[in-house]
Amino acid sequence: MNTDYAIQITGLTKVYNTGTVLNVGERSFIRGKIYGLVGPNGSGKSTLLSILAHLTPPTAGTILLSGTDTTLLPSPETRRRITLVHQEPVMFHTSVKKNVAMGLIYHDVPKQERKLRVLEALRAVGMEGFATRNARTLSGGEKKRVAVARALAISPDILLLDEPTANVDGTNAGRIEQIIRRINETAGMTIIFSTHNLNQAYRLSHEVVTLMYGKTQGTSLMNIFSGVAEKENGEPVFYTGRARIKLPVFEKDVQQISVNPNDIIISKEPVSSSARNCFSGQIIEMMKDGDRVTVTVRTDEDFRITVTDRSVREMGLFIGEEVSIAFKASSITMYHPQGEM
Amino acid sequence: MGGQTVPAGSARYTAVMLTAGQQKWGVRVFKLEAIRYITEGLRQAVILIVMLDPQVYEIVGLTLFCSFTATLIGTLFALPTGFLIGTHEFRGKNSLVTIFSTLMALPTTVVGLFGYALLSKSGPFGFLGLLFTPGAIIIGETVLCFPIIVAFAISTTQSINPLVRQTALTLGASPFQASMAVFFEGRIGYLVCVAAGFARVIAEVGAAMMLGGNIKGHTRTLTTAIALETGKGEFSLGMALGIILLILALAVNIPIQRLKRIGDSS
Repeated sequence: MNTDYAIQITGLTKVYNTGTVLNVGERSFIRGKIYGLVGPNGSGKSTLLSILAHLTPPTAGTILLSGTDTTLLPSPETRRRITLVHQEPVMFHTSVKKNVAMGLIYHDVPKQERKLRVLEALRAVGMEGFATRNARTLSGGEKKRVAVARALAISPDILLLDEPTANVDGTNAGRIEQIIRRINETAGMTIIFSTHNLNQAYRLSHEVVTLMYGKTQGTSLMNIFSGVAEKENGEPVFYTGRARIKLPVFEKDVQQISVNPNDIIISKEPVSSSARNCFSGQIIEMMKDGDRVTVTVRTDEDFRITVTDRSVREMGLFIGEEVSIAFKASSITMYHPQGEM
Repeated sequence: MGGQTVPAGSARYTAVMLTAGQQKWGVRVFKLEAIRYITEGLRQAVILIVMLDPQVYEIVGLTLFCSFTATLIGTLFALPTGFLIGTHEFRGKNSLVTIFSTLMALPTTVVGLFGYALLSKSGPFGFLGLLFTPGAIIIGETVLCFPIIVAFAISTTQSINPLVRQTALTLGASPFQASMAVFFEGRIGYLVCVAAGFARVIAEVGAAMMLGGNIKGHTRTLTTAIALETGKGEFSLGMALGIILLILALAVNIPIQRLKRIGDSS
């Protein structure tokens, strides 16, 4: 039993009539860290979060919360320790403050303390001015912030957020990101959030967990694309809807591919190499992690490239600069619905 | 009148043939008569209500008593039934929903007939001595409103976002508290279900007539009184009672529909 782990899962599977949607062997989440859960639609992100929140029972496997097996004990106390904010949070048909107080009412928190905690939670998400508003009249982004406040009010050990910035305007998305960072720093809360936005996942989290067809991948996949494999002038390509990426071989049922960020070459000049995939674009983000820098280049798709800090300095790369990128078709990993190839 | 004798096969009979003008005039007379009934009915309704006619108030009182009691008893059983069916998945659920939907159109006379068979002296519950009492009317009306409230409650429950329950659970609610959160979300919808049940029983005549017997001062309700007065040719009094019935139905439904609109818009 290791209490440094907020959650440990073993052999977690979920099978519906349509098939297996989740099959996670071993996975641990360290206390006080932020985890970004990424993967294409249908990869099992929401199912995993719902199982972790003890709202959906797994078909098999165990969940340990702080070393205690809670798989078969979805009691109100267990759920209070690990709270999920849904992608489209439901607001109860009442005021914002009563919505935030709901969890506290369930836990019989005295009225005076309840008032203070509601105000504190609303302040944490910058919604204290909306306390008396009917929660149903709020915008999508505001509802998400209230939902986060509602979860924070009960002080869970672990906060699960299902696509917290999906369908939210830029301003609210930025605020939600700030809230996630702040509550992790101030309360040391373990946070697991799912997202389609890889940049956001890497920006916010200490570790990115990639799910593909219900399975966690050994390494974090930085460049995942969904689309269809097709032939163009006899050449196998993967069409994402925005970009055509040349594949090493043609595999009809490939629906997702990933490109290793270490295998992508970045250059200020047009690349002249044997690499079959060449794109031009603009640097939109640079993130330093130790002596490595992750550069995000926006072409028809966003590509993340890992380079050394020294290379960045020597090349004089900066945000907004036009660059060229290239990678070999052999750098691509193809994924089939039945599993990794 | 300008009549003629018309041969028809081997038999001979006398028929009054009206000219086109006479027909038109006759229609006008009929229309005027109908308008007179309505205006007379309205006038009598106002007089009966304003003058606090004891007989009318007795009928209205019994009607309201039977309808409210039947709706209340029906609601106590039907809302939880509809809620449980709506929130749970089980084998045969669709068949059950179909049965309740079908029973919404249960003929009142069929309920009256079965009720009569069960409550009559020779029936299995004859010893209770309920036949031709308000109690029998209440039983019949409860049977009538039960499937309506259940069917509407199932529909209302199924229309509530399933995330309401999940949200309550993830905030630490017990299963009962989570169910209450769902029920609270559908409160206006459930009120409409109850109103539908009430509308069904206040307007029904078959069960009240067959089980109550339309006994003056004892089991006479608005609908049975209307049927009786119309039968006697007392259209004005029948009309007056009908108008009172409509007012009662409106008095219950208008606030509920308003609430529903408020609920829908928020």
